[in-house]
Amino acid sequence: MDVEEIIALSIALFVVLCFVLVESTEIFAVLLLICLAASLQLAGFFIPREAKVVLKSLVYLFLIAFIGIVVRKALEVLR
Amino acid sequence: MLSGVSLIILGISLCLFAAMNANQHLINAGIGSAVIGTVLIAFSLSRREFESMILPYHEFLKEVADFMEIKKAIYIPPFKGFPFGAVFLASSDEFELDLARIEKGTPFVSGREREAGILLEAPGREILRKFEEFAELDLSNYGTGVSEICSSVLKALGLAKGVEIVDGDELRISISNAGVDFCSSDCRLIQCPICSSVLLAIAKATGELLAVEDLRAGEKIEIKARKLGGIEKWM
Repeated sequence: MDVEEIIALSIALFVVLCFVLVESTEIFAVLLLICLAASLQLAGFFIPREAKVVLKSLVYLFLIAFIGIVVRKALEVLR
Repeated sequence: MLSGVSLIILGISLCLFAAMNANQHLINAGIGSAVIGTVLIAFSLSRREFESMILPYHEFLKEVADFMEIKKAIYIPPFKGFPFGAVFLASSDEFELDLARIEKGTPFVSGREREAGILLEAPGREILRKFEEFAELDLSNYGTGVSEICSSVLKALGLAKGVEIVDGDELRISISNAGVDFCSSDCRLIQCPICSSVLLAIAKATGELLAVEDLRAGEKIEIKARKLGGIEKWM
């Protein structure tokens, strides 16, 4: 099995595990952000450049969602 | 690729359906499915681009070698001015090489027919750097055990499945499932970056010059190389 396949499989397994264990969409999104960011950081050497660009875009997307979640929670607390 | 696209479509459909029914767990399933699909597409997009990038350079070097009537490729371990080694393309089978006379910046080595040739930084130089970066050590005097490092890195980069080196009277190197399809026996004179990186790594790890005697491309790429002794012998 290629390293690339192992990375893709690990991400998929983590996503399935999060889906099974987590009910809240907000926590699920944050966990996906952590998973993708950690994969990029830990296995970046083995990820091809083109795949890295796509994964980074996904991380940015989830980062925006994360900021949205944090802002909403902050507003809830302030109210 | 197809499975990735299917997963993304499934994910979007699930999200829409879940949003209509206000089902949070189904939204998670949709997002998860879309993420897995995107990851699969990302990894499938990056395959085989290596070949289309290096083929023009490889063919250009072959044309130069044809024009210069190159007869043999000799891999040289690091020496002055060439920290990652070099490859000397000799114009004669009975070549003569004086490394003390060679300088960086003059690729065309002139002189008698036996001394003439081209001196290049090997096409596999950057992959050799990856070998060292991965192993976190300098490969000098590492020995033929370097095949394991070559295997790991080439496999991780998706360039080959494995590298085996048999050290006898002559070196026999086999590279399985190389990531390029244009390998042929013509590559005996000009090697692609994959074969070149392995030969350069062996030259550096053994500290000896290597002459490529034969290269056969089939299910595996099999290279026969002859050790020519250390740098001092050729100074």
